[in-house]
Amino acid sequence: MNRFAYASPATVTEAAAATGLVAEAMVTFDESAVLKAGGIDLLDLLKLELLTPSVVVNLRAIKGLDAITQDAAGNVAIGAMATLSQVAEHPLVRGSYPALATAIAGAAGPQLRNVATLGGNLLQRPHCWYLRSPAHHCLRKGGGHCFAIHGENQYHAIFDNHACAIVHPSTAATALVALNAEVELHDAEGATRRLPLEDFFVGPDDDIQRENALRPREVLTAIHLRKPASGTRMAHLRQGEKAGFDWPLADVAVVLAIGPDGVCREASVVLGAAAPVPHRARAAEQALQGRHPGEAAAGDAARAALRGATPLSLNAYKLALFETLVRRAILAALA
Amino acid sequence: MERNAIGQGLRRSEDARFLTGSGRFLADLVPAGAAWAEIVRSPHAHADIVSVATDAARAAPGVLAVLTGADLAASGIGGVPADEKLIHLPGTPEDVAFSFRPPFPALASGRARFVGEPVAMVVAETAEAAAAAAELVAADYRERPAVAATEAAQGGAAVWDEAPDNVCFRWQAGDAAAAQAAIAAAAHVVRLRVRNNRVHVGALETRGAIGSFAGGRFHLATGTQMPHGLRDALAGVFGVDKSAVHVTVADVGGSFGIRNALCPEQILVLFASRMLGRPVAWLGSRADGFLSDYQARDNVADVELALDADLRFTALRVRTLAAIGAHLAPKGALSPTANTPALAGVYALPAIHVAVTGVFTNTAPTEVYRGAGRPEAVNLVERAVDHAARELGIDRLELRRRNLLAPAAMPYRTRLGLLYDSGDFPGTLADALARHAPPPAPRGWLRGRGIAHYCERVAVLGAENAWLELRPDGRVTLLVGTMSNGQGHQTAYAQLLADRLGIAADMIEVVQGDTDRIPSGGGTGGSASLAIGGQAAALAAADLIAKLTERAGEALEAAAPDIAYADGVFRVAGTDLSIAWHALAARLPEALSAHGMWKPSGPSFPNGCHVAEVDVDPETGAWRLAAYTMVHDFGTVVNPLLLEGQLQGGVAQGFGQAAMEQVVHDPESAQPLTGSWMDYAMPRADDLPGLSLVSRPTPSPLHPLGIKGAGEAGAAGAPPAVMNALLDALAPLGVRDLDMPATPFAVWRAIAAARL
Ligand SMILES: Cc1cc2nc3c(=O)[nH]c(=O)nc-3n(C[C@H](O)[C@H](O)[C@H](O)COP(=O)(O)OP(=O)(O)OC[C@H]3O[C@@H](n4cnc5c(N)ncnc54)[C@H](O)[C@@H]3O)c2cc1C
Ligand code: SF4
Repeated sequence: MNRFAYASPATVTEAAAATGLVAEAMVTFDESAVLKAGGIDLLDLLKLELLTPSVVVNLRAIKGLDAITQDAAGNVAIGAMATLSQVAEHPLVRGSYPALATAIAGAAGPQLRNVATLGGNLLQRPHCWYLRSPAHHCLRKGGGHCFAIHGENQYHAIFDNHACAIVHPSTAATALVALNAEVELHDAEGATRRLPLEDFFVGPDDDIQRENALRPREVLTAIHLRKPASGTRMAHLRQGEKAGFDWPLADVAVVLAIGPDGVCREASVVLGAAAPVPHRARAAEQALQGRHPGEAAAGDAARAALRGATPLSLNAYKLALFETLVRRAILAALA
Repeated sequence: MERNAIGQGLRRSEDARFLTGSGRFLADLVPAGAAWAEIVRSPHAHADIVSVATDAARAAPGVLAVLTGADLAASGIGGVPADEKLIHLPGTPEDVAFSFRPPFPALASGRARFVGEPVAMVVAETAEAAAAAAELVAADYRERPAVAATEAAQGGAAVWDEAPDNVCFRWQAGDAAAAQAAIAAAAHVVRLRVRNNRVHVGALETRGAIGSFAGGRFHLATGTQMPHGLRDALAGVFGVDKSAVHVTVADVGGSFGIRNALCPEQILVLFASRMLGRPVAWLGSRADGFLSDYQARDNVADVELALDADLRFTALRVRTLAAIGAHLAPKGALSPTANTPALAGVYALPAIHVAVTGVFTNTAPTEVYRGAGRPEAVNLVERAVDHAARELGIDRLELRRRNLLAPAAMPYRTRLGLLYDSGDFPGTLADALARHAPPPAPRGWLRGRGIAHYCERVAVLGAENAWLELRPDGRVTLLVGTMSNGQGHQTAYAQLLADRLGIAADMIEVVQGDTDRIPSGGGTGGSASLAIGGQAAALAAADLIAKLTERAGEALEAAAPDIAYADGVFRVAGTDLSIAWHALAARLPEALSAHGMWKPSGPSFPNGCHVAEVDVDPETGAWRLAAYTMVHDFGTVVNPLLLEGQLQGGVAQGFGQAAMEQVVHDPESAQPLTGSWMDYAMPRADDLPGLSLVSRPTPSPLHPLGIKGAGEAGAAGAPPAVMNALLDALAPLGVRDLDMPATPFAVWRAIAAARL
């Protein structure tokens, strides 16, 4: 780990003012300033020297960035600095977005969730073992080729994996993309922008060295969730190698809007740990829309979800894993 | 005052210290004024070291020295010493020897043979300065083809030019002709290939060493199981007398075998401290550990089990390829050879033959690890028994019952030369099955049950001495050469002595880990500490009581034979004359010493039966351990709480090997990919159910206290119990074979392959 300066900007006012302070802090530092939320992934990156910043800017001292609030219309905003535990246990989340609560409650482990933040979770770097190994200068690190595609790729992507086969590491993102969440970003001038989380993530075809559209000197401040329509059912399921303290081998979030007639009006089916970004299974969604969902529809959707997959030499097992999880997640949402 | 007796579940006296953060581990011991070392490691699995440029590093701020392999070679000190001879068992040819015993210098020169091999050491005023300067050491490498997989060793790139076939040794035991004849004549022969996957031990405290040199003597503070053995090895490396080396060990955060052996960094800090005239500290990082700690297991065996028409075993034949790694570690050849007698298991096996080829690969050297070859052997034989039952269509229990050694057969000499002194194997099996009460299986999941039955030979180390000192304040100090690495020796010894001395355990101080204070020591290993060291302590206690009885005679003006000691009071028989422990101690002009020595006349044979219950989700390959029972015979149990801790940890480690642990190398470059906890899976508490542990002790006849030794038993039985359970669950799907680690991926692949 290299030597770095540590800054901890603080404020007494709400999010906007706080962001101003961060912005102020950030413009005074050069490009190699990095933000620290919970620091879980950051510390790993520093230890492996995948990041060698001159300044680490702590977001923890900023008050209000961890708020979880509901507006008059019933939409919920989750501050980027809310810890995973806070999100998973919050009544607003558990009440309206149980799939998100489940996804987060199953991520990592309790000690990690008490420290890790939702913002940091969405922005963590992938855990491809070639990427994390100092010995491999792979494409994503600016090198010449992807070691995983012909190497040890059992944990890698089964979709969109021809250039770089990382899987997106965030479990929260699987549920949030299925819920059509939006992210709110503040820049150093105090300007904000909002975009769908799904568009925020960047696949290797667009830019192989980044996983999201965060710009330099931009801070993720909040995740916005629309109030679910009545009749919305949802579930998140994961399958791991261990009971806890590990990323899933596969995870699936399903959000279904069921009309009073029992017909599925809208469906969101998103696969995590399947592709470089959370993978929306459009064919599965179509297989559910306009139908009375049940065993048959769930099976059709599960099969459809895997259509077009391009498994690598060692990860074809993920097809069966996902097919099973998609079917079970749909049935769990309906249960 | 409550008596602390053998058999009580006394809580660990060391825990207050550990739980309040006041334990003293190596990082707590770095003396003021110490210089800090950083190791430059090879980034290549196999490469010629063309040059190592150190000028820039030497010129960096705070740097005191930069050492390379050339410096060590010029100094004439030795490398890491490995065993010179292979073990002899019945059937081992007299002239068996290593085909090639490579040198293992502390810093590589000329060629680097595994990723993480030390190539240079930088010593600087601070750890940071050393790390920064290490970046400036410019080694120029010419890469060579590398070989990582054990099966690829023969025919792969030569790790050593002197061993073009990568063979380090060929060894055998048992009766080849008898096994061959039995196999030829057998009604049935079942064959299977079993892999013992390579594991990273991953002790909680990372490795480290603090060296100093003063007054012509070396002092090494480090973590080890065998302080005296390490002292002797270092004396050999530096060509000095044993008396010129002092090894001290404070609290140690886990070893499981890997800290048994001398490692390069321990040599390097001593070398540098002598050169610089000041202490030199090296505290390895987790990354250092993943690359360069000795690793373990890693062998592939072809197993043949022959049976007659009545399905009685007639022969067991095993051909093993055992990975040695890039260098022969100090005890690197021990696990695949010396402990193969565990292959005989709990069965009547009229013929056994085992042949082992130790092969070099471009990987970290392998060393002993919890069980040191016994878990590997138990895994082979127990997997083979279940495999035979499935292939031959006989109930597994029936096959076991038909072949188990009967109590009436004891004492029994196995065909690999061990003399089992006792053991009721059919009774243990019946008990294990009776006590095993798994919860109902989840719907739609496949349930499987696995049995693994073992008999281990432990406590084979040599003699252990114990010294006691009674001070006038009545307190007693034990000095003993075994070494706790977290097992709770402080508690166990104090409890055993409290029982023998009739005083409270908290009046007894246990001193270990100091080769100056403790004249000799065999060390901890092979489940031997309590079995051998404990008996030495008990003998020292008897010596102390005898001496005190003399003193009591003087005090009470009575003859020693008339004085009886019980519960802290010396009493003249038939009178009301007495003197209490404290009063007698207070009369001592100085501390009173006593001594005990114990050298067992033979090993002891703890044994037991593990039963594992698993549930498998056939649609995903995910599975979980639903229940686990272990009925065991460790002879006399000194402290059931400590025993339970040992078994839980051992079962968890065995389960880890079966379920998830695996050192992965990139097949092409031999680069290790499991370089952190992110990529190397260790089991956690939530991966295991509560264990049902049942004690069924028969005291060891060879041991006055009846203790057999229990430290490795959990790891010995768990891998085959778990694997047999998985194979049982998957049998209805047609799965006949499955390798460790049985990750969901591996299970699913086995299911998919069986469906084809
Ligand atoms: C054993 C283990 C198991 C795990 N299992 C899972 C799992 O199952 N599922 C899962 O999703 N994750 C898992 N994780 C990952 C863990 O959840 C993330 O590392 C964690 O959520 C990161 O959050 P943080 O607040 O600590 O982020 P940090 O480490 O502080 O930050 C991560 C990155 O985001 C940037 N950043 C953080 N906050 C902001 C912000 N507000 N604006 C702009 N940039 C920001 C930082 O600069 C940094 O680059 C696991 C981790 C471990 C160690
Ligand atoms: S999958 Fe991506 S991150 Fe991993 S080796 Fe290939 S390019 Fe690098």
